[in-house]
Amino acid sequence: MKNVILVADDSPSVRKFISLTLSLKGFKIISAADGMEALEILPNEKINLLITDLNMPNVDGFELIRTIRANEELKDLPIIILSSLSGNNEIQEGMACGANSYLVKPFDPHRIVYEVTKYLN
Amino acid sequence: MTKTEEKYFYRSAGAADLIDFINKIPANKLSQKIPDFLDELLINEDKGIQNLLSYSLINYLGEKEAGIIARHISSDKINIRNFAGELLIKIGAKAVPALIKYLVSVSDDDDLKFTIDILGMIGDSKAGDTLISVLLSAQNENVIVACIEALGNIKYEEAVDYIMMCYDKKDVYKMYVIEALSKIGSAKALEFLHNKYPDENEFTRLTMIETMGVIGDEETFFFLLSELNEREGAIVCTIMEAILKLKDKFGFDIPFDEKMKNAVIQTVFAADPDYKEVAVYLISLFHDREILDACLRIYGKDPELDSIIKHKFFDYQNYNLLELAALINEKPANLQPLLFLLQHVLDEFDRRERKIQNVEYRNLIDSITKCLEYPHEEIRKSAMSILFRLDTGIALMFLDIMVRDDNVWNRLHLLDLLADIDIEQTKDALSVLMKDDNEMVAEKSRSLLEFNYQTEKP
Amino acid sequence: MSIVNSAAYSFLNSEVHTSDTYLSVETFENLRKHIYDQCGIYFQDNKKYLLEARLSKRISHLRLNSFEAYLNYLKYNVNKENEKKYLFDAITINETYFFRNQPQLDALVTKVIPEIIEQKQKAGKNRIRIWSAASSSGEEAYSIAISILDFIKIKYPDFEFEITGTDISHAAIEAAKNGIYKDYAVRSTPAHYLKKYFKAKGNVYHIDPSVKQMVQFRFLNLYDDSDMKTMMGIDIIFCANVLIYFDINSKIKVVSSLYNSLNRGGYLFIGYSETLHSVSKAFRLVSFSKTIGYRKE
Repeated sequence: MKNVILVADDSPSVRKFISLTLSLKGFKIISAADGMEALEILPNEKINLLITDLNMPNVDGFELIRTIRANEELKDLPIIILSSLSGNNEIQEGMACGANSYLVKPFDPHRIVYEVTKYLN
Repeated sequence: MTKTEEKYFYRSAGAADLIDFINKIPANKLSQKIPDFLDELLINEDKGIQNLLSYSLINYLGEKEAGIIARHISSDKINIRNFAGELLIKIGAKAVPALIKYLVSVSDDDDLKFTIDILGMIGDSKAGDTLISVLLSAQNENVIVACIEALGNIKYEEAVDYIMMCYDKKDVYKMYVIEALSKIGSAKALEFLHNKYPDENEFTRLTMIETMGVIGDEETFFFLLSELNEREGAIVCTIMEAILKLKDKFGFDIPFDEKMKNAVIQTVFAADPDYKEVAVYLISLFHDREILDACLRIYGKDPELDSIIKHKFFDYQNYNLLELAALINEKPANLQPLLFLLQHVLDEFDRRERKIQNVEYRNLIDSITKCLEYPHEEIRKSAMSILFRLDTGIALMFLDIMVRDDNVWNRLHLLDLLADIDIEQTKDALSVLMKDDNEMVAEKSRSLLEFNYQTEKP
Repeated sequence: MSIVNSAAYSFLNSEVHTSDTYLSVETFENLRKHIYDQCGIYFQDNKKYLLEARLSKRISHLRLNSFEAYLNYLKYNVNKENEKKYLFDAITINETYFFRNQPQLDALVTKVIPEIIEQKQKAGKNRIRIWSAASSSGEEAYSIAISILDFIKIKYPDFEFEITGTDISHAAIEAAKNGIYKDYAVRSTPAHYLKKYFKAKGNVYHIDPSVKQMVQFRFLNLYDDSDMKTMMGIDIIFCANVLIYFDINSKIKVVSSLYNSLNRGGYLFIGYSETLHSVSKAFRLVSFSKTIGYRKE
């Protein structure tokens, strides 16, 4: 069984890059355009890891992470945040919500793979 | 209310009251009133109010309102900034002049990047020149990347040279450059990609291949075919997809050889959502037994794929049921869908008055009887139905197993199947079921017996 | 750009239409619009055959000889109001069953109702109103009632639960009121529920009176503003497997009405793998075990 990674980002390019990079390494990718889509997908699929942007419409990354951490079944889901803002505040806040790790954009594909394989084989 | 009182109201009223108030404003007065309360609504984080702006009031927001909204991009609160961006994108082209104005006035890199992203998503070429000048003067990586992306989204041809210049500046820019060139598409860009391809790593190549599928020409088509011979693994699906895109575009034929066949099977097996359309197309394109077998293994995964596979199965004149029987014997993960497929096939055979051949028949019966004690009750139920349909005589030989089925519904279903069969053959089984623990089962078998033997004593 | 082009499609559309009444594309579009204006349900292009199949029976019953004639009947005939009923019956799908969405019902009784009860107690109220919008033949509404009887009633005997099931099909409403079901409808029902809350008679099941009296059924058109205004002050709405039949605009309208029908702190549940994305941002998504709810804050 392949590991399934949910990628939430409002930029189609980012979703595509991450998807291409990780599927090359044997992961199955499901994409969401924002936190709302991600939350609607979560109960219906077995997700092994979440990669999420922080700035998204409808439901942003912070709310997404908080909602997940408050859910009994999802609270241990590994979460990696994507940040492109220069300031560290965003990253700190994201980690405080309960993310496990972060990647700064623009990112190197090797870096993504490295981060993901910390949590999944 | 006076202007001051109004301002106070907008700032302090509860969300429900605000929404109510706004909903009561007559449509012809809305346009002039909106600038009065837009700022206050934007900083109010209530979801109901955001919904009001996004859906009910959106048609009243134009250039002037965009100017007001753009200022909130600099907000400290991420929610507000994000929502402002959302609205500006929804407003679209009308917001562009205000955004350009905002862009040149802002100095914070984050605000800059955010605004550039919005301009890219709106996609209006008016912003092109401004974006090029930002690209040339920026130092911040994210701002540069945002410009590249946005120029791609706008499809600004004048920017191609500048975008290509960024390729060799930093590794992290590469994917964005390729992606942007893919959207703008030009012969220059295609040549550029072909030149850079040999020296790149697999990740970058992947993006390039994708792009070649979009902007490629005849030469690219044959290049990709040769790449197919060199590559293994997940990249094959991407190459396949690009080849098909070009095939569509130029009307080429795809040569069908061993290597191609394996590539097709690989792509079909992957059956990932992203490659589903590719798989669907490939299945419909090629008539080959091995590909069809591969399809049977993924049958049940996706309704769209299933319907194509089913049609293909029926259409393949010489196909027989041996493969299906053998596959069922393997008890694969998609056993249930396969049993449903078998039932469809039997329907179709009936319709076409096609008979099942001896060896097919034997293997099929065998693989079905082996499903009668399968752990999952739905499988056992399907097996029962199919067995009775294929051969009542043989089915009756297995009654002792079927009456012992754990599942109440299955035993009830068995009774349904027995109802139309000559009572002499079924009475022993019915007697057993009459003593069943479950009263529905017991009741039903009793009534079946009584119906046939008016004076039968239980 | 879609890769599945004519090559694949001609493959699939190889069946030739041979029935007497034939639905032309133009008439299909006119019928579609008429239906949409009445109730918001939108028949996509690839569902043309479905509409054809559904209306054929009615057309021959009325002894009309074409779909065009039926459209005229719907628009101008002196019996057109009455015919609406049959139209709605014909176009709505009534395939559902008890406990179709168990995770939702679990979330209802373990999290949502206790939360709302706490709010109500603080406000000195003791009634909870639940609405099964598009209740079809009643399976969902009765499933809700049974779940409440099983989990909640004992713990909170003083609380009243008012469950209303509405649908646009009169035939479905009648069936719901009768409360008599076949095997298919109860196939996912836990065995002990079947014993406790149903009475088996021959090969059908009658809903127990204790359950029946908790639920009211009536006609309601989700797309009709005045109908929707009659459902206000609701605490929990179930609207499953119906939004998929609307297009984006009618969806936005219906969901907006549902939002208005809810009390603050109330919940909306929609169907498995349905989405409110691009339809409404007014709700807060709440994550439960294997399902989500939409809360009006």
